[in-house]
Amino acid sequence: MSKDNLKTLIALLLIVIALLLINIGIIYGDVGVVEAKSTNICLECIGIG
Amino acid sequence: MDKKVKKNKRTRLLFQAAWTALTNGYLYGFISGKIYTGKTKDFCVPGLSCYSCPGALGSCPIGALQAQLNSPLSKVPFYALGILIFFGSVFGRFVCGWLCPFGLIQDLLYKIPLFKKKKNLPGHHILRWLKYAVLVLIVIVLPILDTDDAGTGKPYFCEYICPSGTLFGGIPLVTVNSGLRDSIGGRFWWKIGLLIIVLGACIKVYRPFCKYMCPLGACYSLFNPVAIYRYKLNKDKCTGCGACASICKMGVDPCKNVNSPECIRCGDCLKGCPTNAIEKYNPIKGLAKENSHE
Repeated sequence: MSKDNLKTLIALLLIVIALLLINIGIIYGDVGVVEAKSTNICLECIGIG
Repeated sequence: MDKKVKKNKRTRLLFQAAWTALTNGYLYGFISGKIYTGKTKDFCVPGLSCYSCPGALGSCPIGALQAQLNSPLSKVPFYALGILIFFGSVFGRFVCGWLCPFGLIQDLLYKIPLFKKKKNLPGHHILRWLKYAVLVLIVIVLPILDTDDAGTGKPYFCEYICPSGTLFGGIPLVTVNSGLRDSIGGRFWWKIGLLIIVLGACIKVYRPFCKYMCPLGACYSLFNPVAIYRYKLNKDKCTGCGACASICKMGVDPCKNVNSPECIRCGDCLKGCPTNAIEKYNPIKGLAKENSHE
């Protein structure tokens, strides 16, 4: 197998792992944490608080 | 050749502006001094785009990562890690070059015809490692170690460093929202000072924040050599003239490493190569070729 194709396969494997992690995150309620943080003004982000 | 490079620069600038407008397009927020709270905020945009920007329609991946690391509920940030690995594996640092609002600001500032322009700061080869230290220590380690009694950490990067948050979130909100204006203190002025230093440096040096400080760029740079969107150097066509290295403002020599972690995929080297030796790699074609050989 050529080096370029090996790189492509590594990237595809990483994409599969990423999609798995995103799904696990959704199941375990990670999105709720992000939603709670991002839908309120983050005082730390703007340097207040 | 020069015309092709100029056209590429123009196209990229328009693309960056359109993407920034699309992901920060909640105009009512800028007038009301409030932020968008709709469902799209669950999703992360690929670039460093503060979710406290009044116009932001999505979340910042570094902000999301810190929020999850800080939360006593979710110490393993599956979602944010998944998002970072996904964007990194598909695009690499193409995100920095084309999809980051703070990258656009830095590009625009570099166009201001003030000072003699420099590609890099002195000590570039050592300073470029700083962004990895910011990622590991300030974004990941400190929020995990420094927690209160309830187990909640502090978003150190957002709180003390992120100039994107100050520019896109802090300044517009404080300008319009009088309640927030009354609450500003020393930390706000620290962040304003840091923002002024970074923006000032951007006029003289090309993208100093991306090169030396950005944890998101550091993260995506790890994926640059293998990302689906990557470049390929055709060694048969390359004459070693050095045109690509001299055109690259990120200090990369594509002849030595065409998929360098520092490359933001601006595409100037592709357009500036007199023999078209640098190409976008087509992974589907590559896999199909391998199958046909078998």
